[in-house]
Amino acid sequence: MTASKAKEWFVREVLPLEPMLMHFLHQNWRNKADLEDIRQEVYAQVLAAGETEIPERTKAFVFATARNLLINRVHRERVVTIDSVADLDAIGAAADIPGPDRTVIARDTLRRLYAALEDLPPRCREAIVLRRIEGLSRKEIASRMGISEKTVAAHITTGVAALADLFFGDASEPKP
Amino acid sequence: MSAGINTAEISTQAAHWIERRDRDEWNQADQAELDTWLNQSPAHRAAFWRLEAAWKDTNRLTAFKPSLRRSRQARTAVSRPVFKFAAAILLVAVCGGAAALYVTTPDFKTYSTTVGGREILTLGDGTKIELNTDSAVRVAQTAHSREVWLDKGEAYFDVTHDATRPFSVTVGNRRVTDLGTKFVIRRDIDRMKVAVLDGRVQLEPKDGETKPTVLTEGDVIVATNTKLVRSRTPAKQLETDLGWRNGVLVFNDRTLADVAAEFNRYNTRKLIVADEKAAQTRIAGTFRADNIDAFVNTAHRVLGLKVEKRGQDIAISH
Repeated sequence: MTASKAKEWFVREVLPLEPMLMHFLHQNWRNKADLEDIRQEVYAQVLAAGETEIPERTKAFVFATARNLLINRVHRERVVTIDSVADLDAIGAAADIPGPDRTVIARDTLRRLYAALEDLPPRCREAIVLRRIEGLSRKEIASRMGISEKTVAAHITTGVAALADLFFGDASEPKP
Repeated sequence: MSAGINTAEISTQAAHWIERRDRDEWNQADQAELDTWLNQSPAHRAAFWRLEAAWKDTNRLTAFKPSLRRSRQARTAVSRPVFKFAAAILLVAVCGGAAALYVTTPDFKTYSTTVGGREILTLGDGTKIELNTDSAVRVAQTAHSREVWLDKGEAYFDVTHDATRPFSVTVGNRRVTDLGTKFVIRRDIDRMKVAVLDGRVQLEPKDGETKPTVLTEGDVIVATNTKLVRSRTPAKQLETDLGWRNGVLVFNDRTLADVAAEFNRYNTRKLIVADEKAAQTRIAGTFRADNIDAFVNTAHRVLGLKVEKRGQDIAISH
């Protein structure tokens, strides 16, 4: 398995599942502060597996990984309230929920990106728009916005992370 | 977190890499360093590729340039009809999915003012929107709704009420809906302030999850991302705060720190308050928003404060 193939698979097949994955994690994990952590752990495991061999049914694989991870966490945390894991046996069923058609996902990419960009904090958005859309250099952005280059870098760094969250699936809001 | 992987840190590192790689001075040595980091673990790769995927597509948004750019010039721009994916809508309708998500975005007009600028917009129904300094709004009107987004700055709204075409203003993640009224909204980086001069408005989060709050005449609400603070202010005071509509700033026993911050919203030449004692000096009076020199002279002659030029800016000290 070449690395580039695994990457392509990860970006095209795994990442678009993020809204569903987050919704699933939301419903099945009580401590919302853990969600981002769990998501990244799922990704790391899924990717590690995909780099050896790309699974046939990506969605089923991603959700199975998520389910196992939640179970392991429950065991590890020892003190568990009854509803911290709502219904782990029902989790298997989640993998069978039909997702949106992939062409729709692709067509919708720009729209969602646009919406994500609109939702960024104003200064972050300004920095990113100037960089990516106006094509200005960091120095030019700094002078245009009246801030230091370091601050521009900070805005962009924050913006990248926020943009990805908004774009792939907002961790704070379950999306049915 | 018991995972053993410090996910938050990895995400931050990944974001730093994206930002660094995007710089003009990115070179082969940097690339090698990035490759080493990526090769360290699937967690690194997953975090980086995820951010990269979102980042990479942003430059395709060039098509939306007119609506995304924040011009410093006062201008009016009509955005293109943005999303006309009829095919996508059909597909989703067939799938029975959340069709509402795919409804086309209405055309909107963007209006903005420069630092020190002021502009009055009158909509077809007689509704007036007055933009204060360094402000921007987008306006979208349909047969069933009137929507405004306050993207930055401050605006005064005198709305011709029409229950069949609700008038609402979105500010970040909150929405203010007119219930027959005059009100003013100011947006700062971390907060928004709504003050009602007449009639009623309703304030609610954009997602509509928590209950709306109804504000009546004299109500002032300051909202940050996480909380709302509500207070009552006499109507006379609210009118005074709207002095900017006539180009003046009215201060009623405010600190110099506050006053300087206000002036700085309206002028590219900035007032710098150089020491704490000066910052705490109380000030009352009415000043032209664009005449910073008149204010400085008064501060010097009447209050005995020291005034010193620093480049184009002016420092005030005790």
